[in-house]
Amino acid sequence: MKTRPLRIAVSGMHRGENPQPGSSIVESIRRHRHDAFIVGLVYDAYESGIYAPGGPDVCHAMPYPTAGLATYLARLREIHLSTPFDLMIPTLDAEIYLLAGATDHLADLGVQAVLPDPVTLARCGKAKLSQLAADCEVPVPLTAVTRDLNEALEQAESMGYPVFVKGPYYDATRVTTPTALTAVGAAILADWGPPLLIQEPVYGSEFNVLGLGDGKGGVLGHCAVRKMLISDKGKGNGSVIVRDPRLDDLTRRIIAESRWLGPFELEFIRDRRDDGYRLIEINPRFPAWVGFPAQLGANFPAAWIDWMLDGRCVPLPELPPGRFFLRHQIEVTGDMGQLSAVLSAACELSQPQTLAS
Amino acid sequence: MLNDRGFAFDPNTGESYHLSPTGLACLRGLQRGATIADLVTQITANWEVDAVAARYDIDTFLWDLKQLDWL
Repeated sequence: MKTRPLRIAVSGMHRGENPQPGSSIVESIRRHRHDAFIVGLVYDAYESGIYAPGGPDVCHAMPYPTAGLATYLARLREIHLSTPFDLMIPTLDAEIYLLAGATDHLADLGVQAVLPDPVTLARCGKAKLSQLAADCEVPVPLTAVTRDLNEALEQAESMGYPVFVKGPYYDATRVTTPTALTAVGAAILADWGPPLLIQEPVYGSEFNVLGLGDGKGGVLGHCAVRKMLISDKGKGNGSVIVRDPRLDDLTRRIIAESRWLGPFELEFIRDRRDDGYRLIEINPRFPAWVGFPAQLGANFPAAWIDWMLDGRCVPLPELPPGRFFLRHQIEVTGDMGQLSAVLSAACELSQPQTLAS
Repeated sequence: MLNDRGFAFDPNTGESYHLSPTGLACLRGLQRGATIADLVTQITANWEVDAVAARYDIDTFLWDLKQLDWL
């Protein structure tokens, strides 16, 4: 008897200047499961990965996570009725924060998603990172968690400019004056709400570690890179694999302490003052560069799908230091029919891409 | 990781370096177990430099390698 191909919903299809992980995840899944049926969950008809060769088989428009859990689940239910899928891989921070406590609701819809629990997620979030790091003796930059602009200005004054201003999810902006802090802080509060984080700047090379946690304190596999090319948005447009035992040790300590479940990306800076690593952030998801190790044989999305299905996966290989990636932008093509279909309802895509009405 | 064109990659830090021909000769010599005196002999034999200047440059180079934790 022929079994039905696995159907997987993936979000975050944008691959522009500030790329999201979804397209790389889809590409990685297809390397391992050639017959997988991919449902793209998109927020914007201009998410370029919708139109990429090998992209999702079907796309559905979603409400933004800020619409709230009830609205989000209602839309997922509609989508699941018209285009059933077995697994869901949320790829954006805001989705993961929204859905972390809702895996039972997803299961009621017939959708399996494995996510960290809300307590663990909060413990690894920006606002509580300093405490988690202290618990496992991992150095972090001096950080103040503030509730409003006045408090942020006070903390920045006491820390001394320049400082970095961060919101709860995205963006880190270096500011040198109270005026700049007020403008940036107000924008972050308007977009995401509190807290506002004020952080001392740390200068040095930037390192990222991608991995999978088993939820019991173990690491199913990881890959560490140093950013070689950094965009003006701070994104790694090129990175090289490194193997530093100190970085491996810090990664294991953080994951053991947090008992992290699922994909993660740790961001470090190697402080040029003392050559020591500082943990900057834990991202609760695959990074946009997850397709890079997959091309070299360490397919983290495929391993994660195996783990979600069977509770185990084949060990991910350690990749050799010195292999690097460069981000390479290309043009993908579409037509207005596809665009309007994504905006209105479901867009079924085939290769070459045409619309099924 | 070091190739014959003097390109060196540090797998711990991810930093890469380009060595001068004399730097490459010194590093290859050190990998073979050469002493500083051996390196001075090799450099003065192959480049137009006297022993005092060669010794000074080698000491500076070894200091750089120590800073990188390569020695």
